[in-house]
Amino acid sequence: MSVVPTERLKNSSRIKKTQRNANVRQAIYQSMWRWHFYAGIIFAPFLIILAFSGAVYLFKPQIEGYLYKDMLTVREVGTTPLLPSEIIGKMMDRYPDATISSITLSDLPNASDVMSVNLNGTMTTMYVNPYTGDVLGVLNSNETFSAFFKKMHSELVIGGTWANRLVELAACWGIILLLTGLFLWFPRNKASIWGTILPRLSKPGSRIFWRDLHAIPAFWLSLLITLLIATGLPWSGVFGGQIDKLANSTNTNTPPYAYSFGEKPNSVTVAKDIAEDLPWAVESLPVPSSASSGYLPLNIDHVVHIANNQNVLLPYTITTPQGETGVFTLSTSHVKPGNNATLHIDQYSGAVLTDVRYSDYGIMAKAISLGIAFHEGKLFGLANQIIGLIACLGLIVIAVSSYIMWKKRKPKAKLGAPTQPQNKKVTFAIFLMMLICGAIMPLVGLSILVVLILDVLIIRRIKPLRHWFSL
Amino acid sequence: MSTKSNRVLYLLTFLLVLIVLCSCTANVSNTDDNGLKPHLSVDLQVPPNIETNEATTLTISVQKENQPFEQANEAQFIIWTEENPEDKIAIPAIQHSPGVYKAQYIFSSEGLYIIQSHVIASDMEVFPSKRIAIGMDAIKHLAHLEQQDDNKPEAPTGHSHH
Repeated sequence: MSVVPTERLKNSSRIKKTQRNANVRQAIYQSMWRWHFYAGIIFAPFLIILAFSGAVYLFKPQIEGYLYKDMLTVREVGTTPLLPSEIIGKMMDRYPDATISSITLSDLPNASDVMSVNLNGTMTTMYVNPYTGDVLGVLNSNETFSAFFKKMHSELVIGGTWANRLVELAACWGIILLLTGLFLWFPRNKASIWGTILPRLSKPGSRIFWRDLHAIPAFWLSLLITLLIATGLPWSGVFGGQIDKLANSTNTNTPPYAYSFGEKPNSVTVAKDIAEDLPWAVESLPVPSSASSGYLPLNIDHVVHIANNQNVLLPYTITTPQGETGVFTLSTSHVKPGNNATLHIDQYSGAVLTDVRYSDYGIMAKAISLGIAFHEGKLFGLANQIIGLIACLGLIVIAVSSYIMWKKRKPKAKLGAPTQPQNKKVTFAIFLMMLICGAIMPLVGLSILVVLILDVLIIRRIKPLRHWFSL
Repeated sequence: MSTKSNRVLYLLTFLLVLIVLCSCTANVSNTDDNGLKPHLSVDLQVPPNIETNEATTLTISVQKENQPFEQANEAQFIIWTEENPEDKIAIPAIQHSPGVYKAQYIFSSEGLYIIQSHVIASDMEVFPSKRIAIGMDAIKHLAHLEQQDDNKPEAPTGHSHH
């Protein structure tokens, strides 16, 4: 007698449970969509800019090789290249007011040497025939083709720290877009190949057409795009700093003085003060029969000699000392990581003060170097460049198709954002998850807080805005 | 039996982790407190009041990690005049006391000289140099050059040739 009601009760509670589960799942989906929608609408334009500039910058060697062919290559290859001091001497004869800050010697016989030269206050890149010392061309370093796209990629052309932070913000939100997107893509009911891993393109222009053009490439490229964002983040100001700290605290970063652009040691040979050395020059003392100067800076050819002795392979850059306590810096400029070497050399004695090679790097620094080479399309030649290009073009398709999808769905008087789920617990749980992401990527966290404050203080208090945002 | 093999397993894992960690960290084993690797430091001494046609003693004292450096394979002074850098004279130096290498040279005429000391050891070498002016004209010339260098501190490349 008692059997039947319990069964029924169980059944009805099971139905309720499934119903509740379905509601919760629906709420999670709705909430994820909302986050995906807002993040996408704000950051898609930036991601398009990054993808476009990145796609162009990837092919810098080919494009610059074509644009600046007459400067980058030497028509007639000579037998023995001139010494760097002779090359610099010839350049100084032609531009007496120039100050050289570095010279890059190539390992290819037909490549020109590249000098960084300050010409009357303008930083220029000067290309020189290594056999004759003739200057083949002078470019304003900030106005080269690649400098433009590099600036677009890192500072959105406008430049400055703010633009750089915006790029980092877009990249970090890119990761959240990928994660929430993958959740939305994941088949909820019965999985079918079409619409999951293959696009349904039979009705061009339909919502399904654009949805699949958005979600399917995004699914296929998700790992690659994540990898590209991850390998780009070590450059970033805020998150990159965190990565650096982590690497330092685990002792897996580079040893000190590993880069030519980073901190440098001082020369240990003490330059003598002239006033102290030649007191008769300032005071009316009897002039001695002889006098000696302080230490003379090394001739740059000695640095080449040191490079040979220390097994530093061409191509490399020699950076001249800045000021009296500066050092010569010898750093390799190989395309692929592995032979990296950075040496700081006492500018007076020629003593090698620091010598950091790739093999001295900690594991994180090695991984970051490899990652950066991959990000720049330099790790494995043309294939690497093409993979990067596919990711960039894919990202543009993903962003554009999402925009069209939104346009098709958007009501006239509203933003067309997915409505907020009724389930407060779910909304809060997802919000917490985003805050965790924000704790890992500080700029994301900061932007969430800013939006939250805007939301509470302004948007919720103004009815038309509330309506527009479907709150 | 099983505890024994477990222990061996733990030990092996521990060793493996240790090896991996050691190969993962940045290699700074060979550097001093300032992050510099062992290097030679020099003190090139030129006596005051050099007279022509008198023996002049040139001295370089070399240290490595604040200890006199006695292991130089070769030490010499190379001398040339400012006007004629192609014409170089090399004089071998002899270790007089630990880490102090000396040579004698007779300057036959007044003028502006460059003396460079070259100390070579198995895996390191140094070549510090100074200008020496002998005679009134050379001293004036030197004073002029020093002033120029002072005004243009970051152009150290190859200018001794011009």
